[in-house]
Amino acid sequence: MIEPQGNVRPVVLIADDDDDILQLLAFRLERAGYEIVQARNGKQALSLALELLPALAVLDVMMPELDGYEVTRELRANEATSSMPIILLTARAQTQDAARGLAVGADDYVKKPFDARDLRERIERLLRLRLVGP
Amino acid sequence: MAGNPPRLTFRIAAYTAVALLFAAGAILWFVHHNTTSQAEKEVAARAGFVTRVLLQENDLRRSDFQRVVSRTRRAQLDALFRRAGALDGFLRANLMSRAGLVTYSTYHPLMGMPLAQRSAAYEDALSGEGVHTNGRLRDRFGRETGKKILRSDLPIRAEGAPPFGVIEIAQDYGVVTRSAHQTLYPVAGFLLLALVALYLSLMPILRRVTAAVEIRNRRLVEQAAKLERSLAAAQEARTEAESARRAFAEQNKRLRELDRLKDEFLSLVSHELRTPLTSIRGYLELVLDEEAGELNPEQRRFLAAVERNSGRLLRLVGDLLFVAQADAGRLTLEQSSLDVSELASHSVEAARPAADEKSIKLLLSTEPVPLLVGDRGRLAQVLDNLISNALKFTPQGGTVEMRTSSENGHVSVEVVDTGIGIPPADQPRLFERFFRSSVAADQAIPGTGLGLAIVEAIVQAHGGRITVDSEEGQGTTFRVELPLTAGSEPGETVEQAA
Repeated sequence: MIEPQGNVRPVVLIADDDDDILQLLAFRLERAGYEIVQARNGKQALSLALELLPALAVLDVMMPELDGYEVTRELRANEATSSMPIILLTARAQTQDAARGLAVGADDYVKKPFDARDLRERIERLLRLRLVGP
Repeated sequence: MAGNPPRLTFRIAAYTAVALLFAAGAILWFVHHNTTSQAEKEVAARAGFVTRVLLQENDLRRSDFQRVVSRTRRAQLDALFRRAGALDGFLRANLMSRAGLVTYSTYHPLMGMPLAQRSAAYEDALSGEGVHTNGRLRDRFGRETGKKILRSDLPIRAEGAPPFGVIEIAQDYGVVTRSAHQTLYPVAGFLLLALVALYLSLMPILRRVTAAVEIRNRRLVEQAAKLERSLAAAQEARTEAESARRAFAEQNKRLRELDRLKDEFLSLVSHELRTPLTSIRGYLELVLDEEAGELNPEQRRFLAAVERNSGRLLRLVGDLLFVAQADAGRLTLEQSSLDVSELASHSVEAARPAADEKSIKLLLSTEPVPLLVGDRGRLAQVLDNLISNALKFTPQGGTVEMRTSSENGHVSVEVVDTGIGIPPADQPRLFERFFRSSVAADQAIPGTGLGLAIVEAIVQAHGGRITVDSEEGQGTTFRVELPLTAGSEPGETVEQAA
């Protein structure tokens, strides 16, 4: 579990167009000790990310407006968010989807249906890397 | 085309005949010309001879050439030239002064006429040469209207002095013609005979040559026709090939489009099925984690059934997608070096709880095998699948054994069970998608009929093969042979999210 810095819980942006999954993610991650910001489509995710500069973003790949790949590309192109950890979530199972996700600059890739513990571990690992990294 | 030979022969014969006739004509003209001039010379020479005789006998006097002779002298000269009339073809003689005045003529009306003025022949004669010309006999007015003659103008002179007059002798040209014809006719006859002989002897050669030419012609015509036919055929073939190519290209495009649509569809189905499953399993997990309150054992048992079946549904979706990808030849292997014996022991350990539950003896018999290059996750899937199949179809108290071995260039894995076996009729279709053995159906053993299809697809993607040996009621052995290299280099291993 992440050590909250000075009682400030890390902000995690989650984006998915499926409301049930969004609520599920929010519930799990709030329980894990994160401050959650929710977005229901790619456009909203992008503007919230740029506005709030969360510690990490979990983005669904297949979303209306902007998909997860495009949001990732936009965030990487912006100086303020170029090194923000990004985890892509997808229900598409093909290996090439994972490869594409990593190619546009995502840090990790999680297939749906996801295992809550596995996702939590990946988020923790990325945030830990951020704290010791550049 | 059949009428060609006679026509050609006739044409060539006609050409030859015309050529020969022209040659003959030319020869005859040449001979005629030569014999005529020869005859003219001979006839003229006779006239000169007669004149010289007359002069030598002093029958002609110098005065006879100076003025028109007297009547008496005229009678004497008439008598003289009657004697000369013995000369072949002699028609007339004129004596003329230097000025061209006729002083005497055997044809009296001409006497006193200035006939030879401004005549080139006459000038030549006066300058000392005998001149022979062709002309016509003069009438009483001096006009040349009579029969054709050979006219000889001969100069008359004393020794060493210039001529003082000219004697003109007219001879019938018929004499010349007769003389020439005497030579010409035999020559013409001989020539004609020779030509006919030549023509006749040419004919067989001609026929042979035309026959050869004809044969060659016919052959050329046939070749041309054949060539034309083959050209037409080639053209037709080209056109056909072109339209076939276009049809193929069109079909290809359509197939590619269908393929793309299928991919899109699969991706969509996968997404659409997984999304609700994500919610189902996610919330189920929440409840099972007791995030929403404590569960009593019954609730937990019921929810476990929901969890198990949603898991089955998820695997089915994955299997369907996998088979579709394998069908499209789009199976991607994440290759690395791996030890099949180690994989086998993992699979056996993972299956042990299920085996224990059914009181099945699960054995592992491995030997050290060389490392091979392959997709660890996929090959583990193969082994898990074969073991779980074996356990499914083996009754309580039976035995399932996994063996690994290696021999010349490949690693073998065998899964041997003492199960219910597979009827021979079912064996050939065992690896077909959705095929379920009749015994499986009879005994209500659950399954989708996709497991072995997936196993075979993975084995084949590794360049290996799978075989089955089974006896009903005795048991089944599945044997997988994998080459040490899967046919490609070990690639980057992409981490597969769980």
